[in-house]
Amino acid sequence: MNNGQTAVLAPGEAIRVTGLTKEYRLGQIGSGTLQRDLQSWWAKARGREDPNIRIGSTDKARLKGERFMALNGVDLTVKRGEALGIIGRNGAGKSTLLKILSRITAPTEGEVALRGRVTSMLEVGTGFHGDMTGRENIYMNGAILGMSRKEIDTRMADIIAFSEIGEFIDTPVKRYSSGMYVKLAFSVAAHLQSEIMIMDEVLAVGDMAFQKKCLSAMRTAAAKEGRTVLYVSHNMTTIRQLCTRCIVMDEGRIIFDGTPEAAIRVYMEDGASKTAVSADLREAERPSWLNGQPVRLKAARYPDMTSGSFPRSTTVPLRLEMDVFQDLPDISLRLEVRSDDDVPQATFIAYDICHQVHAGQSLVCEVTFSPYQLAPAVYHTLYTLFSHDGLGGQQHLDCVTGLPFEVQPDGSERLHWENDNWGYVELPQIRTVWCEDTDGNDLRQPEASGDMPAANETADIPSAEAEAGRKPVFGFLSGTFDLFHIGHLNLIRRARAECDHLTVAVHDSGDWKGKKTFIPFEERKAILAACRYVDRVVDSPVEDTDAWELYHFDKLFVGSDYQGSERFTRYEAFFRDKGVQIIYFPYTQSTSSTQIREVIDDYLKKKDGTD
Amino acid sequence: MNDNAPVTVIRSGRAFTHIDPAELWHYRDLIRLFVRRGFVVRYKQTVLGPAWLILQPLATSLIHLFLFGTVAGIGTDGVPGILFYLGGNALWSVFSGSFSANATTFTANASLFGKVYFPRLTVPIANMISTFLRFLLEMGFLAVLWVWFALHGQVSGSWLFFPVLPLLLLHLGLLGMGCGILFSSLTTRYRDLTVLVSFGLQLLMYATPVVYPLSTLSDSRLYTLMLLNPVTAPMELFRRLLFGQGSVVWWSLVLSLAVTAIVLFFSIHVFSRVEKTFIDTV
Repeated sequence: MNNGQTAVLAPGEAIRVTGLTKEYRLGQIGSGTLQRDLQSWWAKARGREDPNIRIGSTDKARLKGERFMALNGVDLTVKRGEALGIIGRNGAGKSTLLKILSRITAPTEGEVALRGRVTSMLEVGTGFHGDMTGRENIYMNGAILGMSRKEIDTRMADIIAFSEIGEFIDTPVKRYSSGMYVKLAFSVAAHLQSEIMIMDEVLAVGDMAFQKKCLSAMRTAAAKEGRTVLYVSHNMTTIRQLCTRCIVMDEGRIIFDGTPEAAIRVYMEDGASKTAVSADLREAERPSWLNGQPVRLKAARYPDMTSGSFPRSTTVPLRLEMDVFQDLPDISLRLEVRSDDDVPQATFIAYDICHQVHAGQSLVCEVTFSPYQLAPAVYHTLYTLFSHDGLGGQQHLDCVTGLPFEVQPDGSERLHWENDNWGYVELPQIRTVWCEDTDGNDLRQPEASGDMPAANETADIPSAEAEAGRKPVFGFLSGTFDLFHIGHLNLIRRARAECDHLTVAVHDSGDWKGKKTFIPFEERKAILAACRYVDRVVDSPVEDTDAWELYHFDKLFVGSDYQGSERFTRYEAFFRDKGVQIIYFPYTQSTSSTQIREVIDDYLKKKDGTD
Repeated sequence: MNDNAPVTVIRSGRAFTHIDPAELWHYRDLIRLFVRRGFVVRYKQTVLGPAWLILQPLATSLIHLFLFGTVAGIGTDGVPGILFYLGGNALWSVFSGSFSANATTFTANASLFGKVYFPRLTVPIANMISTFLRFLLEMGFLAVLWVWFALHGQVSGSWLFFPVLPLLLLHLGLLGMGCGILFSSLTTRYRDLTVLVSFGLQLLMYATPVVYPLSTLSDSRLYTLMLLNPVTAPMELFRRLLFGQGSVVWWSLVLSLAVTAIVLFFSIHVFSRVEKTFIDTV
């Protein structure tokens, strides 16, 4: 570590890494005790064979086998003010790189030049001592990070304010919650006057609000104050939010360097190419809660597939082999899907793969699952075999980590799915029924109207909307619909034939007409909703004019017996300049509700009389 | 935030390294806080608190007074027993304290060293300063007793004591620290050395005129051997100046200084090499 060699850094550069390698020897370094090392040394000095060398291995082979290149030739230049994200699978060398940059360990070969002070936050709360108060620990932590007492004094108020610790600042930190601990630690580091900040997943703890605060503090540090931020995380959302540039590491090398979005894509695809198509499950670890093992899964395979990576529209075959050790009425499979942070996200179930199996049988079965509802990502799986009693109870037969798979986009996506915000499951699309402005203009996109369920499902009804460009006609019909009968159905069917979309409004009771209803309101609505000619069922206001204010229909349907009534004369006047057409359907006495009610009333009267 | 900020270059740990005094000076606040933390943490949640700083050496000296003075009947060259043992133990603990506290520098601080960079030498230096402070506290107590004995005409010292004492302290402190960090560098590889430290220090104490004056061995074959011990000469010089009794052999003192210089140079070299990669091995 020599100071003052400015030649290796061009102006504007903060970090330059050249040909960096880091080699670890696996296992123990030396034999761990002085006696054995002295023995080996003495033996070597006399030209004898080392007594501590492992039998059956030559010296050369042992060294080769035990060496591990954590970094294997890394070259990197970071400009001042850049926020560089570093992503990669576990063991890719990210943390080793940061450890060398923050001078915790030295490289095996290569050179690093850094301009200015470096703050590393590889783990928060470094140097915190439980018995000392928050304030004392701020001094301690600040000093460890290279701040002088004066510097800390001038920032003390800011640090305490940022940490949200408040009055607890003079309490020993061993009484803090882990969240408070992290907040305090982050605050100290964030207020350090350093040119380079190095962070390794420090935001994993702390509540959401504080995480956001930290991210914005770091962004400000990079963008406005010209500080350089290096950030390692497995959380792609924070990488996207914070970083201006991102590298992907794999096996000790930088395999990609570019924008965060591109880097994340590379990282994801890299993970997918490693998904196997088969796995031997015989020796795989089983959870400790598994009680006995009546069935043991032997192998899993995606037959006829070249990789475990497929578009979401694929129907994926899965072949399982298992041995049965106990007579069982049935075996079912639960395919539990987990995201790469091992959080359960969704589950496929195959009930009753087989019936009446006996001890000693070996089974092979093939199931298929369709991951179309899963967002594109890499998933881990857990295969759980169980036997269920049909009453909600189950007996676990076997449980083992299954084949991972990657869901790829199939081209139907219109958005880049954000797993961190939206989860991993895309529920069926919401359909737009209609959308228009206050003047009644349809605002739906032409193709969207094709999605309308009514148009698709009522194939026998001429659907005028299918004709491109024509504005669909909205119809409206209101009534009590008590004792739903063929007359109601005829009315609705005829109304639907006159329009593209029919809204039926139901009066909650017949009180306003001085009649009682037999069927409860909710049931009447349910009957109408079940009717294929009805696109929408709503609660009806007393007056259809009020309904128009709410639903803006083009046609109002009504029975001809209402024509000329005071109410409809009023309606006609109201709708005249609104472009709404009132259509009277011929009234048929034999199908009127009133007549049915009369029949019933008569019957009840007679019944009362005979009793 | 400009191109004038100092550039740090990190290279392979194999290269020859040196300690950067300017960097250590920059981290002086950290050294101060390490010293403070050592005291605060040690006596928090204890009944007697800092009183232990006096009680512990006092108890040890009283035991020595009983064992070596009364039971074994080893003389003190006419120095009042309690003064003799208190002074000897206090000075010995500067060496042994610096030694033992630093012998575990790497292993005890592995979690801290593994997470953040700061000059590692701050930890041994802070440990050394802590032993100085403890020594001065004990000396304060000793001074009270000394004055009482002096008024009764049983002891008399030299004014030279005051200018020489800081040099003596630094000498023994650095020697102890040097040995300590040498051991701690080795214990990152050989864990069994940790056991040796406390045992070895115990032995070394009896090989040093701590609980007896060097003069008792003046006609023994061990005399020259004792003079080769780098702690002997400072100990005798200390007694000579403080109590007016003690055999100062100048070649032994020069040898002691030379040993300290060599140990310090060598240990810092080893330390600075180990500090770069030890985290990969612990």
